[in-house]
Amino acid sequence: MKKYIYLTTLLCTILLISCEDFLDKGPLDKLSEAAYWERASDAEYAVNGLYECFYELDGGGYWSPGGAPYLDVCTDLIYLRNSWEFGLMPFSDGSMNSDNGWIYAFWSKKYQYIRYANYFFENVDKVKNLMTDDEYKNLCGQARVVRAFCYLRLVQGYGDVPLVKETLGTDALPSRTPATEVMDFVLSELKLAADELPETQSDDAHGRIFKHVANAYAARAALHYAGYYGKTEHYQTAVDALSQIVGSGQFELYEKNSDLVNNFNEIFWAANEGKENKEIIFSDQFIADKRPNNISTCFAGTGWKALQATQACIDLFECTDGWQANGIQFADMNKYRNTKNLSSPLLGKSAKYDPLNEFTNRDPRLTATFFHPTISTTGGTISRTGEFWEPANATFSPDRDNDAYSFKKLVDPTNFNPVYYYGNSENNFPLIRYSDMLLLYAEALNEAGISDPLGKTPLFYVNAVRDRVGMPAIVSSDPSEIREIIKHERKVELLAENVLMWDYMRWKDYEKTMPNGSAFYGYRRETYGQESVLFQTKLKTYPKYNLWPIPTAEMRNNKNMKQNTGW
Amino acid sequence: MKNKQRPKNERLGLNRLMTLVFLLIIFVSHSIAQDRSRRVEGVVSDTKEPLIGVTVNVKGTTIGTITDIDGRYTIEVKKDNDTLVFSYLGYEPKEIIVGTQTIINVSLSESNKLLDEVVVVGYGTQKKSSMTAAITTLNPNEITNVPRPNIYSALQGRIAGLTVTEATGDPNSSPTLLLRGKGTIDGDTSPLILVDGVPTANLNQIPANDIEAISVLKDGAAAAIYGARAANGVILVTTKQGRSGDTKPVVQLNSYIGLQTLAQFPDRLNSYQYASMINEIARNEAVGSNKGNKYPIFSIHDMEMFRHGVTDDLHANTNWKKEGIRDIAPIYTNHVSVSGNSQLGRYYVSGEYMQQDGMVKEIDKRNRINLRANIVSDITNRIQFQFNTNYIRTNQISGGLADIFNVVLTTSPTIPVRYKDGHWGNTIFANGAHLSDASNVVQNITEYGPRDLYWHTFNTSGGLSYRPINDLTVKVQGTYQHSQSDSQEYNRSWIAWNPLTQSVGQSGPANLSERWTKEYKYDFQTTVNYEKTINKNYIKVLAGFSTESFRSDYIQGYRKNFINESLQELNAGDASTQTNAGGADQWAFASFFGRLNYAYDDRYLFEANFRHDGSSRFAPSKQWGTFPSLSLGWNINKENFMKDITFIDKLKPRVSWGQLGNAEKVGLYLWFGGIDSGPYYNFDGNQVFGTRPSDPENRELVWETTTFYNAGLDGSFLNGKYTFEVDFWKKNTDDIILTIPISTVIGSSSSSQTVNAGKVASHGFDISVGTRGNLTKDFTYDARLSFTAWNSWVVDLKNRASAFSTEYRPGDDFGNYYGYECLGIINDEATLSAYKKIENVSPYVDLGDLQYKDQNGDGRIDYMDVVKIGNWNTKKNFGLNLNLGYRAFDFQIFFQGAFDVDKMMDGATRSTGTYGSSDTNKFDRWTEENRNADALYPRLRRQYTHNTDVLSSFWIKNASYVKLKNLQIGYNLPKPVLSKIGIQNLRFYVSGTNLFTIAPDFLKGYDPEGDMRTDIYPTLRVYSFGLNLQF
Repeated sequence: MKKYIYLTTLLCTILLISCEDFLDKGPLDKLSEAAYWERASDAEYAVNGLYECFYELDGGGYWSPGGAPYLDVCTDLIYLRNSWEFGLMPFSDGSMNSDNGWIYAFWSKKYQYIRYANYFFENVDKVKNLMTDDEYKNLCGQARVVRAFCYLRLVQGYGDVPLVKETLGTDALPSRTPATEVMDFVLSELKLAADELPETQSDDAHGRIFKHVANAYAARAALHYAGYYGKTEHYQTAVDALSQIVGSGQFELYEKNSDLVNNFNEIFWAANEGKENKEIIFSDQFIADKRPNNISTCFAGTGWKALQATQACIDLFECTDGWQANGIQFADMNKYRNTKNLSSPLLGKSAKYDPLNEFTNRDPRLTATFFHPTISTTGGTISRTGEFWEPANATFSPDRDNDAYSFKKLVDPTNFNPVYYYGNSENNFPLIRYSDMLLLYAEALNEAGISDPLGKTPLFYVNAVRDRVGMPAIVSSDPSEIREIIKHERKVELLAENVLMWDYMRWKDYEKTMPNGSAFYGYRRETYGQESVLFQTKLKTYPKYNLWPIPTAEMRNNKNMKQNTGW
Repeated sequence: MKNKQRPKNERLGLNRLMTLVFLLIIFVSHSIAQDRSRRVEGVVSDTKEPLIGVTVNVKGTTIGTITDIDGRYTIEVKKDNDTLVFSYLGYEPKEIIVGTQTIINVSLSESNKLLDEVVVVGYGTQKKSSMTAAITTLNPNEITNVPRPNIYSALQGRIAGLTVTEATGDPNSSPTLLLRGKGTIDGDTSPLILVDGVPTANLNQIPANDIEAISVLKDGAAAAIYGARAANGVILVTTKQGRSGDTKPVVQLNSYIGLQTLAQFPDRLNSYQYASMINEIARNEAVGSNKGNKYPIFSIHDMEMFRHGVTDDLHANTNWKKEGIRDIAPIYTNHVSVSGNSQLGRYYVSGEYMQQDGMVKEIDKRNRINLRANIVSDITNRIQFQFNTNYIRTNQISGGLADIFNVVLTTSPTIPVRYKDGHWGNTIFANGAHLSDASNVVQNITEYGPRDLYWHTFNTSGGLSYRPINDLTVKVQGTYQHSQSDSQEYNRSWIAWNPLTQSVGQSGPANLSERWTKEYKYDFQTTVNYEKTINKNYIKVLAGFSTESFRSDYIQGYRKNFINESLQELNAGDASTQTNAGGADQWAFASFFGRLNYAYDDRYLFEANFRHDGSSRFAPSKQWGTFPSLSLGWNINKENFMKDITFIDKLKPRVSWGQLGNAEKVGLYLWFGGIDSGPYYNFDGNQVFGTRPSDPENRELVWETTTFYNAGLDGSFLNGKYTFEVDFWKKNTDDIILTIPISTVIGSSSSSQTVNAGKVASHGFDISVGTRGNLTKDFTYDARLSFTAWNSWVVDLKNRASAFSTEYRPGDDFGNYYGYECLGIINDEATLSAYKKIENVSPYVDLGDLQYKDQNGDGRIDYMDVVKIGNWNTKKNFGLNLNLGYRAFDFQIFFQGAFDVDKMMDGATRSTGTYGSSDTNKFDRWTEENRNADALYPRLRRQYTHNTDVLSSFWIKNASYVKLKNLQIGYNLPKPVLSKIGIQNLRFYVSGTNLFTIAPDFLKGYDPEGDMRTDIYPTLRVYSFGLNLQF
């Protein structure tokens, strides 16, 4: 019997020893931290992992192949055809609450990338001596821009937000940091990044962060800081950053096609996104099949036409002779107009305006931005045949269940050749465009009331943008009129580029453009003796709607978090 | 590189084991060889079959043994005049003088006392009378003739304590099993299933005819021997073996053919009803000047055409159910087995072919092949070799069938199947213009695939059992499971045709994705059993260890733009579009376990179990956990004072305590952290590597522990005429491995972390009551009612359960629906204007909308007003089985039901306005004309979500039901006739499954066991005809 006991003991001992490593089964397809941060490429890969944060199609939630730039739905310009398609829609119509999924996704995605960036800074020094100083600074600069961008967006959306500069433990319950402190951090980081980063991009398609990307975000941050928080001294910060971009001589407006309409439309085409396109400074990168976007499908897909313009937006486009020639005040156009009661501002003022042919003799950007609906009437029946658009080789008949205008801007012809591909656009989405920078520069100079280090007037830059599309130059010496001119120019130039919503926020123009109870209509049926169709009534109260609510998910789990006023 | 490390340990276990086993064998053989006593062996049987667990003693000594699962015994005797005593509960004992015999086969005759069953328990068998734990066994004969390909469906309602939910009829999915409530959250709550002692996930693919016994281990005492994986209960299945008495081969054939139909399906709208409803929605949406328009979407002309049934490309009246769904679909199964005892040993060889067509036309097909060979062979008198092998191959279309039903239910009837020019109809037109796109089910079916999913599994198990001395058995078993699946999904190119413009609106290219997966699993176990009876003391000891290791790998590829639709392999796609992916997983598990049984005089019963488990799912220092159990039983009927109370055959109270773990729910590498990598971005049109830190790991994770208490009473009266088993149980789970929300500012992608936190508790009872007997000489009956009741609730779940959570709340039951309490449909202006004054109410609310209650009276409707409005867990259910026999006829009637359960309307059944079609339930709605505040639906709206976005009590329905699950009538051909043609047994039967459902409060057309959604495969009703043949 003793022998059995010995044997069993022996057996168990052997097994116990063998079990020690028998149970050692880590993942087979995942790097361990111990094996990382050993090569210079490890730092480079970590930076590559950050770029996804710039994806704000679909409103800035999590990346999924299927997004389009929806954010301008939150302005008075754009109407969302299908209310369920975009989570921030309730912010547009006034039925928002803190449970909103996009509010949560926008917030948590930014903090996720902030964690990735913080993790990078905590580890990058482990491989610092494996690369040159320039390589090291270049990587740090890119990560710094990413982190600053995330914070800028958080402040723009939510106001005071927790400022986190290192990776937190899972039991942390951070509280809100005053927005001024966060903005100071953002500005100082972007300044540091601009010094660290190289003068030019290392890739041909404007995908890599370089010096002027840092400058551009610094300018946007400074203008938000100055506009929303009244820190007017930061107009100077913006001027400093923008004068570097404008003064560098590296960028110019795209003018390859002599046809003014096509030229503007083609800026955004996949075919034109190489190094020779000097207007695009920075863009979100897409490739067909592997990482496509869905803009062309959302904008122009059969039956989709998700993002549409109301008549209020169409009325913002001047005739080719310009509003100043017709005595139309920009300030009047930068506030809410009831297009059902008010006729076109051009009616009876511009000889070039034909109410039956809205798209003729207009700013070329109108035809470049929207498909011509080709409205006609016979015996009281209105019909819309829609524009035949050569590049797409297909007829875009506007859907007849509503009265809106559908987007052509950002629709890429490669989606339609040879057949129409669903959800597979490869055109990069512009994140920073030179015309935007010129207009921001004009705005900063005008607001700061200081002389341009490059020796020009604010309107010089506005007129440069207008001149590219053949619109007449504007003359004014009144800073408050120039402000309205710039706002207007941004609206027609930058529609659907996820820029205008942030402009409205820093201008605090929501109340002016979408007062509580304001109504928005489709195309002007009054022209044909009918009544315009109401699309949307915006029941928004202010100042509540000047900021988003902090997501309920955070409020529920973090006792240190305070909600924004009114939410 | 650490991540490249190959799993070097996979074979180590085997090598070591085999070496040790041989050592053991040599060593023990040597010691036995010195024993001069002689051996007697034989088989003990009754008139029909071998008896398992018969006690064989040498009279007047302590030498004794019991017969094995085949009735075999071997015993050592010293002298010729020794007497062997054979005793077995329920049989008359027998004494035989050995004499010079070496083989003594014995036939025992039944005593008038009740037959005692032998029950399969963890790593062995046990007499039912000596069991102290809560174990329920199922006679597989009850379920073999149920015309479903999956035995889970057949288990429903037959085992007290087991809740089986068959929410859909989808032949590609399995019902869910839940044993005694939910002891955990965030993870799988299905029981651990072992087939022939080996953990497996494939029970649902095994033919019912191959199954010899099913034991359900319900409490901590029964399950603790499976330790860390037993918290959800354990189901033990043994497959059939050849019987030693069958010296001639026994051939059995079991076949049926079934006709399947939908058990229920909602009625659809016709075109006129549909268009009227869409117009009504638009009127409800309209504001200002558009409000008065009676035909805002479909024109007068449209409506007239629909009303009169005039059809053209823009005005059809299509019955999509008829177009896409079959009225009747066949299923058939043929199962053949041959078994017996030959020179090779005892063998059982079987094969089954099952083919099932589903309800969707053309593409809803699957088939399965099962092959099995089980062999038990005696190498010497003391060494037995066992070999089980089986192979399963299934072939099916890889899913997506629920979508087809969704399309059938939601596509507008105004779309024709094909336009007159032959293009597929897939657009809704109204007033001569495009209104919305829609799916066409006939197009979906015609252009579907080909898609194929092949799944092969090969399972082989070899064991040696060695009996060095009479009371000691050493058993070594090794099992290798290999599974492989390959799926191919081809999507044809498609176009959306616009009949108005006569042009292609949209098109998509063909694409193909293929995925191959393979899995290996090694399982070794060694057990040592010692059993001894000394006077009135019975003692049995089990000790063992086991290891398991697993690895799976997959690889997949994709291309699109095919050169030609007739070529459907990856090579024929455009190489520039190709993508591929691959990955692998692994885990390992090691265990030591033991059991001690002690009984005094068969009256006082004691059992203790112990298990020590290690799992690779935890950080290296946290891998091991220990799970003990204790149980006691008392056979009161064997006490002297019960001698005169003869109507009681059996009365046994038992109590138990045990601790169990729940390991499988933990993700494989939660302790690991690490760095994620992938092609996260692209520059210059090329994807680049990116890395990101993974979500924070938790190296402190340990097992969660479920402590189980059980008290039961078994009784049997009047020679088994009445029987019952009752169990009351309670279980508490501590250290729940729980995903709790963390601050979103931390930046974890899931905004949550997995920790050991919190407690949940459950309690409940299981009752099984049976009666059987003869009404007349020819008329026999056997009825059994099983009833299960349980409840599980939150004790503490940290942040996961907060006062306003919509998932779990402290102290609340699991499965609660949380939502607004609906005060009804707003039907008067006064209510409306009062309601509109409440803060946070949508400013767009109007008459005909729902009114929610401001529970806390703070003048504001928000998350703090969300309360419990129902509970979706099936916590009370029953099954009633009646078997009746009259001469050559037999009847089986089986009812099953559940009550005190709610379900919510969801998806398309809750939606009140899309361009999708609806079912006729929506006739019962609030309209301007018919302001019915008690309607089933509020007013219909489209671009508006006040009524439907948030869950409210308005959308909760009582889902209590009773179903006639199975009705079977069989006829046995007379034996004298059959024996002339060499047939032992031939039975024909007809059966009906899911014949009717009573669910008075549920939404019409939907199964109360499932959900009120349109995107599920409805449950099936089956009429079948079959035969059981044996020769």
